[in-house]
Amino acid sequence: MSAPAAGEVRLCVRCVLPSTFPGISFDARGLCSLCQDAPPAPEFEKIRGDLRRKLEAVFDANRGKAEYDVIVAFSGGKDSSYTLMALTRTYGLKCLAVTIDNGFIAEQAQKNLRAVTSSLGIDFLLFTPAPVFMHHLYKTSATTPVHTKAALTRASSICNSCINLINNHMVKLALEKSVPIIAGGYIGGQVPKDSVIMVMDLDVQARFRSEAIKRYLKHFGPDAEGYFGIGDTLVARSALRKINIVNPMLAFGVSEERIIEEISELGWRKTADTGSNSTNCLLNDLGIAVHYKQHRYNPYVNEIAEQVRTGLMSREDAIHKVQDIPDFARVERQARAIGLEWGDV
Amino acid sequence: MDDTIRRYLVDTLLIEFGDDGSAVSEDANLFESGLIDSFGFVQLVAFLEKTFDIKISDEEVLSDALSSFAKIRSFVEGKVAS
Ligand SMILES: [Zn+2]
Repeated sequence: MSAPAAGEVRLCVRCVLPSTFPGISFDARGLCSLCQDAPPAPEFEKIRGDLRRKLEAVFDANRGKAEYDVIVAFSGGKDSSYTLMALTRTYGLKCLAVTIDNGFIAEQAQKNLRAVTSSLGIDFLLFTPAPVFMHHLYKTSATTPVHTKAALTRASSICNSCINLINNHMVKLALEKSVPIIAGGYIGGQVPKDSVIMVMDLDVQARFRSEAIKRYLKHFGPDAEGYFGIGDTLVARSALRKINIVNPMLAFGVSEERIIEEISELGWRKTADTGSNSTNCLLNDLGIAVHYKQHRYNPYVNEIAEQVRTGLMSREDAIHKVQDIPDFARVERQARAIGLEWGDV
Repeated sequence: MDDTIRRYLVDTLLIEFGDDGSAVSEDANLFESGLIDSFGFVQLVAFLEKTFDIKISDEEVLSDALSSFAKIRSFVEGKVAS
């Protein structure tokens, strides 16, 4: 633990966002600007109920149209496992679980991938990008400003690069198989507030992608085109013009304890080696350590604060999680694996 | 209106406007410079629609009408006036 000394950084009295968090200000009561505008925690259940009805409408409108109803970006972590379970069992959707093996999936998490998908009786696809590219991607993400400041308030630079690669892969698969919905296991604070349902217009996306690709090619080299591009022929060939991107966890509103309790029934077990903010990825703590060194706040704090604000986590648990910043000794092995020196960060 | 849009771009999308060399000018293209990504753009469109009670069409989304602070401001002014 190398958390800041008390008094050095001010925390919101309701949600734990720190004074080091970008764009934040505090009122006289000690409430952060996000909490000042937020309804009391119990009211979020009504908001989530409305969102669940909207989600159901999207599911109803798209069920049975293709080989699969939905592609689920499945990390094997607790949230995407729960998402997969709910979409399959509660909503009766035909899911294709897709995992990107970034080379850092914990051993227990690899077992969880198999356990969850086989318990649910669903198809499971594993894609392993070349490690040489992934290591370069991670190292560059740790040492170069690649993402927008806003994106960095939701996840570390290393995580953002990985998430973008994963999302792009899911879009490609959806186009290939004409699957109208892609679901992520993101929870509040990991994605913008309004992203329970986002209709992705492929033409709008093409514009952002071409800007992003230019930067990715510069930072990550020529192979970035394959991992972050989609290809005009694939878009032209596909019957889809729009894809529904959904993040059902934002509407479900379940606590971490209940998630783990429910997915345990599928044979899911907690990892022991992925730090306090991940249940699948061995690289996560390195992402946190790098982010903290560069920005002086835990990249998970937005997510954790949102859980507290919406009544899904106690403030006490949140403070404990937020202050668990891995020191370099704890992430040295991972840093070495991607060729990263602490001095380069 | 100017202030509401500016505050959103500064506080939520974390864009730093100003006159010194490192800051962003009001005419700078926010997409080409990588200051707004696709998530940010979706957020921005939703914010403008909700805050100013306007509807932004697919064509407008695809056009260059929202590519800089100056353009966003005049676009919203035009929408609100009509
Ligand atoms: Zn707060």
